[in-house]
Amino acid sequence: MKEQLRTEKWSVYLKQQDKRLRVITETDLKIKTGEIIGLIGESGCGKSVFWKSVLGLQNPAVWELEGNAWIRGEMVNFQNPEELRSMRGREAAVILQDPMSSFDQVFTIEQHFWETAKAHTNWSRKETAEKAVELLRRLYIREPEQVLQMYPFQCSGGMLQRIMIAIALMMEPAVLIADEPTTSVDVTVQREILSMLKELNQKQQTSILYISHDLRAVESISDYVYVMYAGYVVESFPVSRLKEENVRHPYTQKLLEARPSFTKKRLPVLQGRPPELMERQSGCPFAARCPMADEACKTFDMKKTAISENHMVRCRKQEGLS
Amino acid sequence: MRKYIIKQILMIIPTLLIVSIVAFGMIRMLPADAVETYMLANHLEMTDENIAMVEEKFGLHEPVVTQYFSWVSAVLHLDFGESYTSNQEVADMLWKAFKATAQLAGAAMLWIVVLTPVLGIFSAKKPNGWMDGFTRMFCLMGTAIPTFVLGFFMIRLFGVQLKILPVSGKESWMNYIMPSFALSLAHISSFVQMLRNEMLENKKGAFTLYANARGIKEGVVFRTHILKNSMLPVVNTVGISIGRLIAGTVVIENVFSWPGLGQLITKAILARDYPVIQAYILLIAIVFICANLIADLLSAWVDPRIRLGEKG
Amino acid sequence: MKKKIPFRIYIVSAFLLLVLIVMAFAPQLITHDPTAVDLLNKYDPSSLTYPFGTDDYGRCVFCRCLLAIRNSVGIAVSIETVTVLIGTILGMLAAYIGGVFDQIVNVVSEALLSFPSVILIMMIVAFLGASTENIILAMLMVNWIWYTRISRSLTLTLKERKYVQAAKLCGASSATILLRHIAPGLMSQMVVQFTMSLGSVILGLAGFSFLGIGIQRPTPELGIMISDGCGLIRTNFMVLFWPSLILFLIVLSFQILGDWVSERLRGRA
Repeated sequence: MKEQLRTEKWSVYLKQQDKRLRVITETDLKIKTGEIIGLIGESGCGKSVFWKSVLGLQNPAVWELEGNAWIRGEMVNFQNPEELRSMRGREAAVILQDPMSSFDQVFTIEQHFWETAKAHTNWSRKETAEKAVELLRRLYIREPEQVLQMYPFQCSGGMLQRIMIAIALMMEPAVLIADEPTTSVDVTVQREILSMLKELNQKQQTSILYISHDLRAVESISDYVYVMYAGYVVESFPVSRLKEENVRHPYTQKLLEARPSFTKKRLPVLQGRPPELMERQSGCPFAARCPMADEACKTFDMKKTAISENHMVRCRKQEGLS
Repeated sequence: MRKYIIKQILMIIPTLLIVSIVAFGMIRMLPADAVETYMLANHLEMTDENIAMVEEKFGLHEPVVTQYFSWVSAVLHLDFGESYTSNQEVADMLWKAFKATAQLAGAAMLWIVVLTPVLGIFSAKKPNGWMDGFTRMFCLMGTAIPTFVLGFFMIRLFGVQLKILPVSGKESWMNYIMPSFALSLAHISSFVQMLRNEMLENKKGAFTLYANARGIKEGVVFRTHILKNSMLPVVNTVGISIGRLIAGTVVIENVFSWPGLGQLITKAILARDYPVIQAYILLIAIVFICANLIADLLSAWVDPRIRLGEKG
Repeated sequence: MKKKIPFRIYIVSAFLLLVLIVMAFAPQLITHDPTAVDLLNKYDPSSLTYPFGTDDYGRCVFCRCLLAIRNSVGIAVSIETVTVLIGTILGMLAAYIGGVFDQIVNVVSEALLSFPSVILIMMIVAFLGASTENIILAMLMVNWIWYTRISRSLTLTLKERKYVQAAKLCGASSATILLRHIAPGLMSQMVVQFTMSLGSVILGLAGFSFLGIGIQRPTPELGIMISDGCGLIRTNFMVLFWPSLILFLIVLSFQILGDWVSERLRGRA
């Protein structure tokens, strides 16, 4: 299978006056054709920073990138703003978490399609509209011709989310990045979006990077899971191993324990919160919340350990166990 | 859209009614008697005969309600009576002055419409750059400098020392430059600050992120999304400011001896020329109502959320 | 993180302190009788005896400016202080008592707000006649609206706070609750609003005086001095220049100070 998106030793730094704060550390991630990758973690652990940095969306005066990224096997040149721009939306398209405020309220849906097409192709406005109608219809939107003439504030949240997917698909991107697409819509729409993404993935072999803090959503949709904590991918494994007895990192285990289930047991709560950027110290960032941590963990260099061919973990306790 | 306009126009009627009652009642409740003022102004002797004559002339012997209605019907026929001081028709005086003021306000509006976007865009494009610094300085000065001080300094510099601009009169377009700029400066300052804040806010907005993430060119994102969304609230405020411009000419007209409403009303207040004051109140009220209406229509025209109603 | 006080605030404060000193000691500082007419001494240029020169009546412009500062700023600050008190108390009472009283306050302020305050003040002066007392009265009658609205909305939220409710349950009287528990909560907002509007009140008062419908002659006042000097713009600009510059600097200082104070408070909230 071909790789659609790959990052290698991908680190992101935030420049602050004289300091250089590391936000994301050496992330190796790959998405193959027709694969759905789940990226999971609490808020503030660097999930959004990750996709924004890969798309080159951050101001280079403030953010510094390290490592390499490939899209469709080609290395992305982060020094060339124009190349980055034409990659965004065409090679890697996003759907965002808040469709209501992501659309410009004073432009029609059709104008959103049109400006996207204009940025990447030389299609005529009519051609674009025809493609848009076709896409909207495929995403089960009724009367797509009329929807195109509507303004975002006239549409429901779920509808806008589907329109976002349609706009993303228009350029047939290598990878579709979904940043918490289900957080701001109600439960039935959440189901709908998830099944729609799954369907797209199965029918059209769309590769998706599904970013969420919702373990259940990730479990139901992904083929492979990355768990992120304080800028580190602490564990990555195929979704079939997402079980309490199979995962190795204490953080993943805690996440799984905190998942609501139909038992009479009281739900254990994962105490504390991820460290703020300014609070991060050397060693394992989870050590402060980890029940198994000891002194040595505070100086651990976060080396990767391979449990099996496709199961990696960054935990001192797992070193040598594999 | 049509429904919206009709609704807006219908809302005017009660406001006008209240203003007319206030304007009418104000003169009726005067601490200084209108009859007395008239007689003093016309050098009439205080005899019973003369008082009766003046009362007859103003219709003061009739019941208040009748007086109000006959006053309203006169006003509807654009008859505001005669000025106490000059014995001219108030309607004529007011109309002439209004035209002069409207021209001045129009010229000021031109400054606003041209300078606000230019300064706002320059300053928001590179926050904390030198253009931004200049604009913020300009705005601070603009809000702090009294209009008459600005006017006199301009007259001294351009009119007396450099001799490139005429200092009074309104014959050519050159005459408009100084008074209209002095009039518009405070407005421009506040609009530029508003536009700048809106733009900086919208730059961080979710729709800007989404547009960038779709690979739309930075310049296009700025011109279409950021600029348009930032302009919407400013457009409404600028519309409303039409009324403020016309009412705010009082000081500047006295500085540049501009024969407009501002000079007229200052003289009228000092001479207690009540028919003029009364008519002025009505006129200003109408100007304000119209300005607000224009502002609303302008907003509805540019903002689909107002035009179509949120969640249509 | 405590923010550093910017350099411009030091300068502005120093200048305003100077203004304050001038206001307090103006009668002691003047070297010439500001009303003494000396036609032989017309249009003296700046000199040690007449720092700002003399005007068309041979009066010392410097001394007149000192007294004018005292009057312009003094009267404007007094007007503003009384306005804050009236506005705040009215807003507190409206929010606390509620009902018809609140409705009336609300409707009146709403109606007044739809016209610019300059026009309203002018109309009141037109109605009462132009005099120093009447301009003060007119400004008081119009300027309270903003304070009332702010204090009303703040009181509405403070009223629901637990400590106010607790005080009520303990049987504290309405006066105690308003003075001890609600008024302190309004303080900081009112101080900000006060500093922010001082500049524009000084500006407004000078403007009305300039037009002849504010403070009346012969009281020395910056607006009047500018109005008196405007006939000399071609020949003796300096007579007009000094009061104009002083007025501008005072308003500018208050503006900068007001901006900074409100920024600080917003940063804290």
